[in-house]
Amino acid sequence: MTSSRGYGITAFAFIYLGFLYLPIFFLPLFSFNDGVIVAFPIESFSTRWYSALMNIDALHDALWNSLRVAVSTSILATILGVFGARAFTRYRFPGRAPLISFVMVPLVLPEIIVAISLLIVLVKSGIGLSLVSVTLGHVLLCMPFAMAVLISSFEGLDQSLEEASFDLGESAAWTFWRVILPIVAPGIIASLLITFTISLDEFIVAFFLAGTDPTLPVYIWSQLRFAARLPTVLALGSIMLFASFILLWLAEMLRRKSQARSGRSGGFI
Amino acid sequence: MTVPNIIEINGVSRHFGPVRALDGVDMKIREGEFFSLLGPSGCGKTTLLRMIAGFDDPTAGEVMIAGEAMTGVPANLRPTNMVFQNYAIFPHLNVGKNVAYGLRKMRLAPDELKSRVSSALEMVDLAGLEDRGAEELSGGQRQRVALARALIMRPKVLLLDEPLSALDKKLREQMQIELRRLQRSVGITFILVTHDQHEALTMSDRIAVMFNGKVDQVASPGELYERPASRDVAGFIGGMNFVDAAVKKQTAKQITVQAAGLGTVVVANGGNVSDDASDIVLGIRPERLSISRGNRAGKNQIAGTISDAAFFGEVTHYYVDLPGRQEPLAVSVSNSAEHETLPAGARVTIGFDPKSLVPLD
Repeated sequence: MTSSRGYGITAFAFIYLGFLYLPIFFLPLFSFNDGVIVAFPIESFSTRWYSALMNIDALHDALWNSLRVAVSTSILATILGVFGARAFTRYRFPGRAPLISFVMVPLVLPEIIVAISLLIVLVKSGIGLSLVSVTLGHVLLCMPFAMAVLISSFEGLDQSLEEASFDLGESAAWTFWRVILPIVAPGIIASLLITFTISLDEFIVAFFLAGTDPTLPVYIWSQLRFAARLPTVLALGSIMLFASFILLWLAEMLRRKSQARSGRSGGFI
Repeated sequence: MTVPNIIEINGVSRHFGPVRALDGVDMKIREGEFFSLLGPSGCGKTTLLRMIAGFDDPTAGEVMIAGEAMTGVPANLRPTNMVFQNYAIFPHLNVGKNVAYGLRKMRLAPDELKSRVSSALEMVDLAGLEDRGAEELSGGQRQRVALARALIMRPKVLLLDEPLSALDKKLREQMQIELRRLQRSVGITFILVTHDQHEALTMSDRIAVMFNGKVDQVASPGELYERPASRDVAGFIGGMNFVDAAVKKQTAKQITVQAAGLGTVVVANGGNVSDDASDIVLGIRPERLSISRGNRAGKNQIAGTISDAAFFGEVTHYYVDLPGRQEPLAVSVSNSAEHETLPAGARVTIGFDPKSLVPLD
């Protein structure tokens, strides 16, 4: 009885995964197709769309914009996240639980609502639209992810390690530098990687707030109007897919390492 | 030859909301002694230790270390170092770097640093383990690293927070002896927090016994055992029979009582009974009672019946029912080669010496 039910669930899992990931596999598949039309049968193997990528200046500008935004976003969100995670895990203060939920809200808030509200505020306040405004929007969206990763690595940090450092003559600042930071470092790197990836892929906020400097996803969207350029977009998309996957995998590895290090699984006893 | 006090605790209280973790504690700890804070969990002993270390502040009163008031002095500026209950070994540093952690401010030359670390490790029998990672250490080794890391600072006082509780029994007994030896050789005042009476008795020069945030008695192990100052202390350290007694006459030296099952006895007045007390208890250690076959009653003798016997190897414990007493009296007898264990139900005579009776409130 258990085995027949087991087969059912296994089959469901495969269908589910297939539905989820099969369309994504078409992306790299058609990016190596020589023909312009995205349809079967595949004509012949070619890397010409990849070579074409090298010669599009607008794309290079967009990539450069995206990288600048993503790097700034990841650093800002992670620094803020370190302060937040430290406060939430180390101190019990009134309003702690509602504050955590408040930081996590962007996870469930429709991005388009966030984007439109930011657009209105930025335009009406005269700050205007630029890569800076995109970065600010991305920091907002990335904070929940940074916090989630960092809280999990700060949470396991044994308080007696800090006390031991004080006891051995170090100040709070030196203790942070010599004990806390090295122990949570993998968590910090994981947070940097995750927020970088999210910012790099983000479309809606970037689309609304980018002004005249498009980021890479905005550029891709603009190219979709030209059918002839579709294969180039597929090639670009494949590269981004691969890069995101690598970054997120690295981040998860580091997060686990940080959790083990701060004593939760590799503890004292 | 008065030894100066290294630590003076003057009227220290610590309240957590309505809870009084410490309630008007006074204590003087002498330089170079092995001092233990002993008591059940929640008696305030750890709070007191953390207050000496500087991790907690008194609600009232003052802690003095080496003649200086420590109020407002943070932990990193106090001449104390601590061995934590879980040892708090820095997981990202190897043994050598853990031990050298506190030496940063001294800006020692690399050679000097190295030799200090290696001699500290030698002191705790971990010579040559500098490069071992923190995660590769056994429980006993972690403790030794924690000791070396604290002692390398040459503190005036070393604080030990239940350092042996995480070790297994055999290792614990071995570490008790080693800690004692280490304390003698470095000559630093050790303050040990423990709930284990054996640990406190075997290691300490003096012990403070605490209950409910108060110190009941500060004395040497022998004195605590022979002349406990309160019922709580008497019951906490070693086995103790308590016998209800009515005071008939009390002088500064002697108390004459009518004790349940024992008859009229005259005991020495240890000063632990208030002058106008009428109902007190007498404490007597199980090993201070003798037991023999046969049912005789006479001076300092009581007749009874064995209700239970337990063989412990070097001693046998008997529980003897006496007329006029609810609980059986515990009697502990050293076993000789030709000992015979008396069976339950045997009629026996218990002998006692009034000198070993301790009158308590």
